[in-house]
Amino acid sequence: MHVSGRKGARYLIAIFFIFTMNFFIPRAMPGDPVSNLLGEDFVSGKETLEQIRTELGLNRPLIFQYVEYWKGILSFNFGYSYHFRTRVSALLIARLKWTFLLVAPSLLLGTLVGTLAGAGAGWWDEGFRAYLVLFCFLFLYCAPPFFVSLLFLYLFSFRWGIFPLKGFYSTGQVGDILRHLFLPILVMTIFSASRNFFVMRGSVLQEKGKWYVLYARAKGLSGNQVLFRQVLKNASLPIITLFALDFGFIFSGALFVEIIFSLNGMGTLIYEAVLARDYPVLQGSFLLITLMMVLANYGSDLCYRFLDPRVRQDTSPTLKHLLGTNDIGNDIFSELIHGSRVSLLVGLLTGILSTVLGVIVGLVSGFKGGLADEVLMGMTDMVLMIPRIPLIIVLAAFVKPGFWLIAAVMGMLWWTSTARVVRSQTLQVKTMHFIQSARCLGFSTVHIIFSDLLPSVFLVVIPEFFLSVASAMISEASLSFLGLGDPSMKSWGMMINFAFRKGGFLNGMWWWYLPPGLCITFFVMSILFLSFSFEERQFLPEIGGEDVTLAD
Amino acid sequence: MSLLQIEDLQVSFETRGGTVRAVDHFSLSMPEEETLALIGETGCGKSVVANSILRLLPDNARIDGAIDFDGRNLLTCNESMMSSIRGQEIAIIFQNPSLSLNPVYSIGHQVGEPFRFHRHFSWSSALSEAQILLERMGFERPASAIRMYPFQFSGGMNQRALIATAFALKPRLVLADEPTRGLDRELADDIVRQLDMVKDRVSSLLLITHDLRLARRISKRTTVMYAGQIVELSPTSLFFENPLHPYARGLLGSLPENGFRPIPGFSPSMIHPPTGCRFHPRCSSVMKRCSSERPPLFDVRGRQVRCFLFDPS
Ligand SMILES: Nc1ncnc2c1ncn2[C@@H]1O[C@H](COP(=O)(O)OP(=O)(O)O)[C@@H](O)[C@H]1O
Ligand SMILES: [Mg+2]
Repeated sequence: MHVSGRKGARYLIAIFFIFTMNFFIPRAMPGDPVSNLLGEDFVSGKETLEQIRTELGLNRPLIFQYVEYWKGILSFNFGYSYHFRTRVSALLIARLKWTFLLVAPSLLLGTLVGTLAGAGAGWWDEGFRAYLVLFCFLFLYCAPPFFVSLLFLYLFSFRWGIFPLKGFYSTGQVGDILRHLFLPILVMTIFSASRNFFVMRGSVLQEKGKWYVLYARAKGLSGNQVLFRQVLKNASLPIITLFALDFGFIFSGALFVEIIFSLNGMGTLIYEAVLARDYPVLQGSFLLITLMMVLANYGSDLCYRFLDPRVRQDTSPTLKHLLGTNDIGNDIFSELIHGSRVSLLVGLLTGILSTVLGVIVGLVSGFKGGLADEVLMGMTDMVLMIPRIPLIIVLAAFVKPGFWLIAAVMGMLWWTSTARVVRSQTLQVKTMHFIQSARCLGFSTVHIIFSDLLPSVFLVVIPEFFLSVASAMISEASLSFLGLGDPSMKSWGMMINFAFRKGGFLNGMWWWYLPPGLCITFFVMSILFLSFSFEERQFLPEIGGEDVTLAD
Repeated sequence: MSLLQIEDLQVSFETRGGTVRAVDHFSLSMPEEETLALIGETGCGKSVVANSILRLLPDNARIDGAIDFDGRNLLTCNESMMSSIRGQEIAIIFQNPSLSLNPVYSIGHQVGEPFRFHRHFSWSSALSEAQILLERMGFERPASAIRMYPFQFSGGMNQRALIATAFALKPRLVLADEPTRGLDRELADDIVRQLDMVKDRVSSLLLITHDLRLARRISKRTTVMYAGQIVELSPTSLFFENPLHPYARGLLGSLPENGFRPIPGFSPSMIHPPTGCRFHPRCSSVMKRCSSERPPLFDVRGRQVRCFLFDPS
């Protein structure tokens, strides 16, 4: 139990720091601390300003103000809002109530529905029904929540008149409240469910292949028993992490829903406060959200500890294991080295494939022009419009997400910008004299493209190549993070996915996720630097080359 | 009457590289109260045989033949019948104990599961049964052991927990798939002692191993597999005195006490196995017909061997 005590202390320290920051920021910012503390709506004569300054104790020593600040917080006194003309604490409580009423049921319901549906979809992952469910959730996942809100509002309230159109100012019966809250809760539930669905589905798919699942069947557990008695507990661990994250999201994400359904919750409060530059309300909300976040994290931390005995062991870095170990004792440093191969290979394969495709399409359409150009550029535009990550999610549902498949699909999608750049470069070069003379000499198109055009577009292609390598590496990481990578190849993205799923984020095991994360970042950065250096140089040889050719 | 009768079992896997014929015309009969050792090098199909008995093969597997257990054909009976046989009448001990156990449930929970799911015990009585089993398996503090988790145990301790689970409901047949794999000599001996001790509690034990000492020590009959086929089946004492099949002779010769002479060559591909006798490319007494004709199992004084050296005609 002393471990959770230590955790609690850590959270307390975090709260202390954030609150202290909150004290210093308005006092250190440019401008008059009075208006920084009271908001823009506060206007008054010179006299009252001085009066208030004394009242707020702003001319007392800082340390004294600091003590007063804490006294205020501990007695839940966040000051007075001149915009709303009421005490901030009363305002917060009134608004928080509605947000809670909206968010708590949706979050619980959404987590429940999403987890169960995701578990089912992962467990029975084949057949028409599985694909249908997957597709529905994919649609809901990709649709922005405000769009869904508007759609529901239009259908249910405007067209069919089942639910009221406007938010409730009439505080009244439970039935009335329910009627008003039904649609917003539905939207938020859908939103939360679709997030949980994908995490859970990926998680179950990963767990399904483990030995303990086979062993459980060997012991005589039926399919359902294996899912509910053995797999579910393992697979739902990432849901706890997600729950803690979602909890913070409550206040911001509920904003759209609150605005559209005109609910007077925290989201609209913050929105109005931002518009009116009402600093006391903003500060109060900020502190409240911080407190909530910390509580949510502490809660899920305890949950995690309860559910997963493994996080109770020490895996932190030692001299023997430079970056520590993971939950089953694998050395992270070795994984990192090994993962570099996978990440690099995906990047390079995608880069090469997309560059080759892009160069061919660009050269042909630029040089040939006419119908070929129309067709090829039309194709480019179409491919450009394919949403990349959703496409791969759909593909991954039908075929096992293999390493080669991911590289191939990304390569087939990434070439469009290369094609465009190459085309415009070709259009420029085409008119130059050496190409004209080559034509006059009767060289074939293929010959001209390969021996005259290719070298001159080469330099614009190189930065494009690096860009696609970099973006492929990042995309592979995101896919792996979503659980759609190749599970047999532990790339850097897979390592972060692992840290997320095994509670590394929640439990402060930085050595699980920081090294792979930093590796990706620095690697992509260095690739981009390389690409920049090529971009800067790209025009130099061309000018020289052109003159020489012309001189001939 | 035999307890387990495998007739002409054939298992193949569809893979990208082609069809892997993992088990080929495998027939075997095990009477009650027998310990049979199944030996052979890694990849020859031993685990596939064990998993097909319990019908635990993945979806890409194709099984043909018949497996008769106590009057029921295991390959055709329905899934709920199969679930009630698994763990209750036939139990298995997998080859990697630490991965077989679920990381987030305690040892006691997992050892007690057979009581819970087959006998519908309450959790508390299932746990106390688990404690008794662990005590019998040589755990020093069983009361605290049932509250431990797999990651807190060594591989050897996890293996003992698996053995305890397998023998929990006194099944009629236990399949032990390389129970000493990955353990050092001392631990392996320990496990063997435990197995030896508990095996009287069940009727029959199919011991899959590539540890020949272990096979010699506790089995009555020994079966040798090579590339998916049985190549020799003999009483254990005779087998170790005088192995018949050239591959079996090679296996014994590769033991440290017999001079450590490895069999030349590599295990064959299971997608395109050699024609004729599958062992002929590596065989020291290869004859002309070995590369073209497929040898059947010949009966040699109560022993069976798949080699033309023993062709009576
Ligand atoms: N699920 C599977 N898919 C494809 N091939 C498999 C599968 N399981 C086993 N095999 C193949 O079957 C053969 C026998 O495997 P196995 O029974 O595990 O060998 P062992 O004798 O070491 O236990 C091996 O060649 C292996 O590659
Ligand atoms: Mg095996």
